[in-house]
Amino acid sequence: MAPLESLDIELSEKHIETVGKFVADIRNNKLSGSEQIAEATLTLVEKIISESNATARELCGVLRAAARRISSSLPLELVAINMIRRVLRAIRDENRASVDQFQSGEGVGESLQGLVLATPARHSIVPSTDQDLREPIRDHIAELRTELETMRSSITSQAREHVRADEVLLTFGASALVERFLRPTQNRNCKVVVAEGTDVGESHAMARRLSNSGVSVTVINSSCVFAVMSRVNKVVVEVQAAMGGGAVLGDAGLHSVTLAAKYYKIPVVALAPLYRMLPHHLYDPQNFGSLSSPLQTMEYADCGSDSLQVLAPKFDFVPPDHITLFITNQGGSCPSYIYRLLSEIYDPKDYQI
Amino acid sequence: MSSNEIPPKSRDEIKAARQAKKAAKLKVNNKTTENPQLTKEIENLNENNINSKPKVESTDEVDKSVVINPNAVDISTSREQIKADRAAKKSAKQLKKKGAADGESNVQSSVKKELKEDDSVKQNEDMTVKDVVETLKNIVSVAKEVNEITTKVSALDLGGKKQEETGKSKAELRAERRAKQEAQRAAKQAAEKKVVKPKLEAPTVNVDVPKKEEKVIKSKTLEKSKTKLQLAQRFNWFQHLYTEFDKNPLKKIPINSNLHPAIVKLGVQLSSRVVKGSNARCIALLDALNKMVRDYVLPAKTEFSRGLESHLASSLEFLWTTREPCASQINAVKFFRHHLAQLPNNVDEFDAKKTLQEEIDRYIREQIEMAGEAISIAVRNKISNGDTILTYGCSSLIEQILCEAWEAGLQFRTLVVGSRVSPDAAEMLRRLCARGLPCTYVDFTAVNYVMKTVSKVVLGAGALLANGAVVSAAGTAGVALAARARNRPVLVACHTHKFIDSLYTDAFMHNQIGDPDDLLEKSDDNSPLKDWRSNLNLTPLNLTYDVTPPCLITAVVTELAILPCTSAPVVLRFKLSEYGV
Repeated sequence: MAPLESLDIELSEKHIETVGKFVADIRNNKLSGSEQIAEATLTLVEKIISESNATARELCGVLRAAARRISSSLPLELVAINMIRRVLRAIRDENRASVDQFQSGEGVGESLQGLVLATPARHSIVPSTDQDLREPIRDHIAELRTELETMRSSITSQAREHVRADEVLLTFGASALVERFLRPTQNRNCKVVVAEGTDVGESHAMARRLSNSGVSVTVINSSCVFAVMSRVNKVVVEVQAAMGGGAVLGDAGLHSVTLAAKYYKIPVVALAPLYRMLPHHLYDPQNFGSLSSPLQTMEYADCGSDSLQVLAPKFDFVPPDHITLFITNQGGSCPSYIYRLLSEIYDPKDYQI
Repeated sequence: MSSNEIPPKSRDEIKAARQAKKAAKLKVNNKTTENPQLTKEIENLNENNINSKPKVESTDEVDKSVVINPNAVDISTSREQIKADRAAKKSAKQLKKKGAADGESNVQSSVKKELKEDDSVKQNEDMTVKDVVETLKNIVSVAKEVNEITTKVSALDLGGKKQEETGKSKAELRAERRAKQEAQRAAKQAAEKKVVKPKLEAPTVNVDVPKKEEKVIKSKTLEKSKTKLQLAQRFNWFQHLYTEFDKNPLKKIPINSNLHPAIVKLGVQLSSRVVKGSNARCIALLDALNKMVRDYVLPAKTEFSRGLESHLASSLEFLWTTREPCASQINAVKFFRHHLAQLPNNVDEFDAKKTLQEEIDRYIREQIEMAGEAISIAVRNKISNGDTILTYGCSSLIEQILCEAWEAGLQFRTLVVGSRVSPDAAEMLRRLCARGLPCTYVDFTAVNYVMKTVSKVVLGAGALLANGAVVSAAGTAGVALAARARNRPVLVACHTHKFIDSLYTDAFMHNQIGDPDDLLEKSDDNSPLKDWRSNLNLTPLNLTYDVTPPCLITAVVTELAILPCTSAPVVLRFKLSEYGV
């Protein structure tokens, strides 16, 4: 029995085609929104698994190869890779369980001392079994699907704990999740300040929908955030990715919002569904170096000179000390605890795909 | 005369009326050929009528419908028609009186006034040609016919017009009212020239005008209280800042005030944001004051400084309604008043004007131009080759500094940050690019992204407060904060004439609300915010200024020295002892 890691399988022609179609769908905006992409990823994984050999070794190899392929063609698409990581974790757990059936290892974590001293079983090399793991994996994927479906409601149901009556809440940019999060507060007479992000139209549309649902909404430009921040009780934002150390990747401009909140010591609540957990430790936005079209910043006709350069970054990097609280679908957690959450949902071996 | 009842056949009726009039005309012409002398007189009269006609036409459409229709007939016909018309108008008036119970009394009364005046003008003419009219008594029967038909026509037209009237916006109505007032004034003057019945006319006009004004005022206050009520529901935290943003400043300008034209012009420029930026506003104010002083005529038995002071007070009162004064303007006025008060009691008018004008010129030269040069040199010494200088928005001083540094041979890159809402940064960029400076533009949202590459941040200021806080365009504080987070030095370039002795702790104590419609996406006609006025839950807020706390600013560059911004009180005290302001 060969160990599970150190395995690099090339994808078969058939799988390359399936993955290629998935990538094309995302590129052509047939799949838009992270929830849809997460769902589609699960469907893709199911398809790949049903067409592969059944051993854990084979499955892991194929999925990792698919993930590599996706991330090389869509480096900014984090959700799909994260979902594959979660399936990989399930495969590894199933494999370990089936191995443990044969050779019952000593129990870990029975006492606090044991928890601290013992080398975690996961970190030891586990041999691959020859059992057919496809059926239990399908169950796991179904579980993940239900988790996706209930994600919104489980996050928005926590709004009651965090939003009090007569509070002024500030949010940045457009986000369906934040909109849901703020909506049930209407009976509490809350006021919402929407700071428009780079997607101005969507921010305005969100503000309008919120106001139609009875919330008192004030729309401001992102440059006014500092001026308004002194009157705000809480900042609620959705993040693009929550990273290992508790840092956050958000839409461009998020940093100046959280910085202002930090200046005024206003709590920042970051909404992060589990599929947004990224097991990386980035420290600089330039690492993600992604610029969008400068057209949204300045019309071409306004550029009077050829010496003019116009930059429009897509993402902003927010250090962990700006965030007070993460709200995931498993409940709240503070930034310093994110690493633990990551090791619960992913296998450390899959941090690097 | 409810207009709803009028069936489509009304057009036929009008046609019939016109035909009847034509018939009347023909008859008159037949008569007049019998009497050549009479025709001459009538022609003269007709000329008079034509001359007086444009005045009537300059009034609104409602009047036209009543007055001009008959007039058009007048021009080519005789006295007879005039008489007939007058009768027609009277009957129209009576009809109106009946219908005056509804809410359009305002419009109707103005129409009435118009008619009265027309009558009065024509009465003058009547007096001179009474004999002519008498000779044509035999056509009275025809006139009666015409009379009947014209009443019908005018009633119909009026009905139609009234419907339109109700659909008109307030602005249009207001414009019409003004047009009417002007027409009335013109009519009055015309009437006074003809000294036939001045005493009788005068009261009718004078009585009417105040009535109308009362009504206008009433409706205005009603509107105001309505919007106030809405505002109270809407703006809770910044209600004290809110004045209804008026896109048409011309409406506010009093027509018959004794304001100097330069002041009125400046008022328009300020409220339409043609003149903006605290230096430009200060220079424009001083320039207007200069012109005002030059053209000031001292009333008899008045001390120069007192007379000018009261004139200045009324001018400033008007100016500050167009836009709140900024620190530089407040200081400039303080300076002007200081020198006005120092004039001796028995000063000669010419000397006084000369001293004041010289002082104004000196202030512009010393406090703005020379100070700007001194600041430019001081900042230039802080820029080194290879730097990247970040600046926010548009500031004339920063532009001067950067351009002069570039022309002095320094090699640096300028990074202009702007917000989507205000066009200032684009303007700054245009000016810098025109001078050949290498520039980068980013939106405010990208400040953190570019801050790593920045070596110095140079910001302009609208005012520097006694606690060291900087009042500047909204977004400046955010830029300063981002710079502080990455430990980049933040220099604020600020003339000492913008230092002011007030203390704000946040941007809500003192601010101005910009046009909320600026927040809407310009490229998108169907912006989701476009109906914010009808949605009480939705408020676009466009703040003009924000307050940067002193802890975010490394230093303030003034013409005196490079200071920590907590030294602002020192500068204020120094200026008090040095210049007395």
